Amino acid sequence: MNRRLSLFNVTSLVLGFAFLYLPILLLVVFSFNASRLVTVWGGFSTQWYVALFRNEPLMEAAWVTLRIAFLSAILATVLGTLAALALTRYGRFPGRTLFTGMVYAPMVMPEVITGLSLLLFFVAIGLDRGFWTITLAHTTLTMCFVTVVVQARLMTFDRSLEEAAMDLGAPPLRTFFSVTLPLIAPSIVAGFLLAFTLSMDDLVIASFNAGPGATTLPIKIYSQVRLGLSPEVNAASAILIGIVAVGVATATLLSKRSALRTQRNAH
Amino acid sequence: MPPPLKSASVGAVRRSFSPWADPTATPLIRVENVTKRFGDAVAVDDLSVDIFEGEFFCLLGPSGCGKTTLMRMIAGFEEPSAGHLMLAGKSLAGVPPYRRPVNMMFQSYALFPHMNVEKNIAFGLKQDGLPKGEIAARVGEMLRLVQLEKLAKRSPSQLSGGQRQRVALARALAKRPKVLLLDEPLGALDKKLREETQFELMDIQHELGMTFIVVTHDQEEAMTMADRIAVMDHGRIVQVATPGEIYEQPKTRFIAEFVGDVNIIEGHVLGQESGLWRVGSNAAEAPLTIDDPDEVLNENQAVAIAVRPEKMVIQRERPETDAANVLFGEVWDIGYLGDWTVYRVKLDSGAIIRVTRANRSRFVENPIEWDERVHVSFAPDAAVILAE
Repeated sequence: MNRRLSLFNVTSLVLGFAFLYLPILLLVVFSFNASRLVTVWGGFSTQWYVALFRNEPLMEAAWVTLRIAFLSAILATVLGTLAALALTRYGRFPGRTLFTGMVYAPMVMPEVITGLSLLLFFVAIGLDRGFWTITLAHTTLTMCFVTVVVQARLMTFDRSLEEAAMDLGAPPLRTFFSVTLPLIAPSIVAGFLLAFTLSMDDLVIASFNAGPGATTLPIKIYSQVRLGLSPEVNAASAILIGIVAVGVATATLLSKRSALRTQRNAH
Repeated sequence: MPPPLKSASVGAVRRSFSPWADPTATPLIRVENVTKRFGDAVAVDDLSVDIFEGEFFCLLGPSGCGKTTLMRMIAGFEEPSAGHLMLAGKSLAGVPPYRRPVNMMFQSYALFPHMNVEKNIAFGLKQDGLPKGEIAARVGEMLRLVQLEKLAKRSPSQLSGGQRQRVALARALAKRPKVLLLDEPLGALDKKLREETQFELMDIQHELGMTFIVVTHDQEEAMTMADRIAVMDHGRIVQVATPGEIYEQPKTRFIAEFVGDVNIIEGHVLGQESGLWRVGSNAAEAPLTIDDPDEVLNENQAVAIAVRPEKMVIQRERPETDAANVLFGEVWDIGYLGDWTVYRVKLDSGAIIRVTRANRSRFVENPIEWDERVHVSFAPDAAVILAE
């Protein structure tokens, strides 16, 4: 097989990446625009970043977003890891396949439906919409991503390591904390970062479950854009993109590294 | 010099140690009618065996014979479906692995990849809550025992296969368990290293006076190291005996064929004459004379005669002694192995027999060649009768 890049390959690669990243690139470029007009280049400037940090409602929304992302990611990491452990460790309990499918459901469920059903649920139990409802909704959404990442690691986990720990006198709980947890930690951190970034850029579910006093950054940006484009929003989006990119890249690297470590130890 | 007693001369004895022959000795481990089922499959089938303190005990058998399951039951990772396991007179039922005075060296070594050599060895001692000074002293002692003092700070991924094996051994020995279980301890090593390590394991076991139970599928390994070997097949122990007895007095055809090379000559019993069995076979013209007085056989019973290749003599001329059993055939194949030469002889009956000859001198005058007619003979006490 010809493995070199042909003209066709290069063209499709460039077109593909352009299709994916040109809009984002444009947004980042225009966030450094000196002109107030979003679509006309007026020279390089960082003034919109300065303006952004002085824009209190926007900063308020950013702070709320970070807190929600952090809390929901922690909840999702704990629950998702437990689910992954249950799914990989407890062999063939009745309804295992169904349970696996159900854990993954939020991944494929249209966000509008997840958002709407959670809204109905919160109204039914009389929980006031706001900070906590968004946090819980995001936990529901992101938990399955943690499960997928941690489960993948547990599948390749050498069970004899745990047996060795128990054989040497460590009871099950101590075995978990001294052997299992340190070895699956990179994938748990990766799952946490995924959950964090997913929560941070979610608009649909957040807007269903938001209430007074709890506006997240994506909601804020979306509502501002409806009133007219502002370069400040470009700057805010560029920062958001930066955080998400770093989060996802770190998560990928962590999973890769822990997979490599498993391989190296197998030889 | 008077000839040694026949019963005492079977095989070589490693050292004079045979608590199993003493009816008053209490075993350290008693396996009593233990059965283990996984669903419909029976991995261990109504198995009983006693293992004594200070013994180097080998569980030998092909893969799937249940040897690993038996070991995992002793370690506590599996509970017997039926039967009892006793350690030093106490039942092990319901005792979890972390409370058994038994340690295991895993086939994969199962070294903790996030801890260095030292911490791996210290892991078990930490679980016991020993003071720091004592842990350090014991780790040092273990590192010296397996000659890894210089690698204490290395991580397992920076070690060679042989070094990992030593760390795993040191870690399992560190707690000074009553019994050390070793699951295919040398399986991952190359041939040269495996031979050296066999003797090292024996030395360590002797030095510490610990009871070792080794699971292996390698008969040579079992023969070299063990005081006693239990040959397992289909979840049962077929024979428990010293390596010498297993090799020279195999109880069944399975054992004879599994442990070492063997020629099987099929025949039927003609009768007994002055303590020797006479067996008719279409592999030989004259009836064969076999000295195996322990067998109880009926006339006309179908039997298999097992003769090890090194106990047969190949020559052109008819052997002079009348007592020897003689087979005729022609040389089919010759394999020169350096220390041994292997001849494959096609008997007139069509069966192929393997005969080995030690190459005692560097030059052989007029050696036996391909396609030559030869006599293959063996003494009556070189063969064993196996009831079919």
